[in-house]
Amino acid sequence: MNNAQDLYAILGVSPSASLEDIRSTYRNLARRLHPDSNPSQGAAVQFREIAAAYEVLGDAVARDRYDARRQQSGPLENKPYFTLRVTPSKRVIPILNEAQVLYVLAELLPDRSRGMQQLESQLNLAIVVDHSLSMKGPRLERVKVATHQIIDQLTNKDRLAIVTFSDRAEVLVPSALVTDKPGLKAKVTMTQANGATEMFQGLEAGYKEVLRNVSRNLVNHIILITDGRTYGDEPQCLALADRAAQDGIGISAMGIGEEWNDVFLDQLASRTGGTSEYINSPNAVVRFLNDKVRTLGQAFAERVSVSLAPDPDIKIESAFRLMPNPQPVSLTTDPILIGQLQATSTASLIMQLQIPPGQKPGFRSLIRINVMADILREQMLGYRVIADTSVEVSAQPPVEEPPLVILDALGKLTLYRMQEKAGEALARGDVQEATRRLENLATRLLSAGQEELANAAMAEARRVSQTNMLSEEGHKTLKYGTRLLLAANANTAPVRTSSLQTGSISTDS
Amino acid sequence: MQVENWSRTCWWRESEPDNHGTTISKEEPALAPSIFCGAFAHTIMNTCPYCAHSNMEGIFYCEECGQILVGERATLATNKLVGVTSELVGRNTWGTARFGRQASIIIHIRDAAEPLILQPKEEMILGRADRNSPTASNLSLDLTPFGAQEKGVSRIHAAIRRGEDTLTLVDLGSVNGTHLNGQRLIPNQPRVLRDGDEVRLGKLVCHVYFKYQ
Repeated sequence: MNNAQDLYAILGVSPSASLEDIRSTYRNLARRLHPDSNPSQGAAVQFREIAAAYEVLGDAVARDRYDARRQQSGPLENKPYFTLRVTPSKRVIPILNEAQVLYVLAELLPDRSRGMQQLESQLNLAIVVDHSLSMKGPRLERVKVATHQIIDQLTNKDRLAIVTFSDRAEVLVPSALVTDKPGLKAKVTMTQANGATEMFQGLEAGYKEVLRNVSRNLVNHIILITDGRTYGDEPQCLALADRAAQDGIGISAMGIGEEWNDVFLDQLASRTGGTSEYINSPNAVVRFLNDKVRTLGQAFAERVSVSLAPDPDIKIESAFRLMPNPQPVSLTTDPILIGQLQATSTASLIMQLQIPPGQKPGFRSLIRINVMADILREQMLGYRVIADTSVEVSAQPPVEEPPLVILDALGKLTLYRMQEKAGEALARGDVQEATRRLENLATRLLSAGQEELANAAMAEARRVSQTNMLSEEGHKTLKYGTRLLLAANANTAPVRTSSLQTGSISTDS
Repeated sequence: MQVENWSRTCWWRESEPDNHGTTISKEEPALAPSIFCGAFAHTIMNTCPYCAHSNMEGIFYCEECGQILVGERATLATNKLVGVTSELVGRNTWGTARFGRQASIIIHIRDAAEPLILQPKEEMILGRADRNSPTASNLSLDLTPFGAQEKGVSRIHAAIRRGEDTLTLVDLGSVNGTHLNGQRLIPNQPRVLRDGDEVRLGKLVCHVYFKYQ
């Protein structure tokens, strides 16, 4: 039976629960999630779901009918496709007169025993390439080489569209199954560099191509490659990204060189569950693109979304996607799109919650996390896993060793945050604070064994104190370099600033 | 079956889609042995041992300087001083950051005959009074008699500030820098001062001790 429809699971009751139990469970949940008392977006999303479930299960007649249908569709899948593991930073929190912070780590662990590693998913891909004048030379050349390699990588079950844009967009190759590889490659070879950068046209053309063959059984994705800033059409691009997300199409952005707007490309990607990456040299383009397409093909779940409904008195300060592809997460919409789940890797999200003062001793719920995904080869659409997390409140909590996985993740997140705060200070005009934060960052990086990044931070600190400005390259190196640290394991080899070129995460020295 | 949403069982959640009792846990959390640390434990958690910034309870890494605040690595390893032979060695308050309301500091300047005993106000500026400079009056401690000029002490070199119950040392942008236990301070970045610390302004070395009533 399609798990999406399992109303008992949504409410969190046993199929044999009494009407009284169902009613009181619903009431408890409604108290926590009703939009009148809970301002968070996730609460509104989840409330609708439980209300709909209760409409059926709370009514004896409707419930009987539902039960009958449920019996007919056969036994439920017993083994989950992935598990949701939620770890708070503390099991017991103290009673305080002031607010306190609690971190919550949510991990999605694919079920290894299913042997999904071998499976390759079918792609419905569009590559949208910037061929403006600034791309002339090695940049465009390498993009062409990379695109050729991707064409080679794909099979005749994959669909590929290629769009090029500068001031206008051209659909070089309309979306179709990859059958005539030499023909495709020839078209790519002929592309010339000229014109300015108008991203919206290119993005829209790519979106339309993917839309033609969009299906929930496929990986629908747009890869945008650009080296520059677009003029005046950023809001349109973001609106398009939202539409794409609703249609189940992800957008990943690759920025070559220093000129592109990293904040904008981050937003484009995060709105659709895609990734954004910094390629600081044309040589790396080939590797990046190949990796990206290969990863896309290894997805076993797509359109993974996470809905966060904290209890009414709890606030989510911030959230960050840790693995794979670390990225800050926007809390302005719910559910949060985190893209794909690969069979061989864990996806995880860490969030910082703020708990108000005056907690009472006992146990209390914190946050209800609802994960949904499309399991690609199993026709399981809207597969859902729900976790409801609580903590104990005590006047004398025992001293706990913080969970290593959270400690480690936060340590690296701190480095990323420090470079962010330096940037914010500079934007406010506070040069002294920006310099201080960069110097602190250098110290921290050095003690974390990241000598090259520490030097980069020191260099930026000096530059800021002398010129009141960050260099674009320095800023991007620090931003994406500290992000890269998050992706690696606990015992991290030093990030070579040159490794930002190859896009590889070295796991050995 | 009464299903309580916030029962004690929600901990490690191996959530299964058809686990209808979302509050049924797989294992009881194993509690760490209870250690009563009292109010002092919260002080350690909240105040950064590195820069004295006050962080909210539950924060793992100082929001100001990034220093880790929890676990074994939270206690700062001070560089042990070799060769200090005065009777102040071995005091059981060595390394304490606690500086109460009534306490004073003893500054033992190397090669000086007598230590200085002071009760620091909110901010104590250390430097070198210059006849020609008008800022001499701001100085709380003039180090000229101790060879400040030759040892590269700036006119306004560093400050010792008083927090709720800690003292911090801040370099005020001196030319030759301020070192705490051998580590150079970042200008305007306060560091917690502990009983027995070695402070070096330029080449002028001194030790700071706390004295209680």
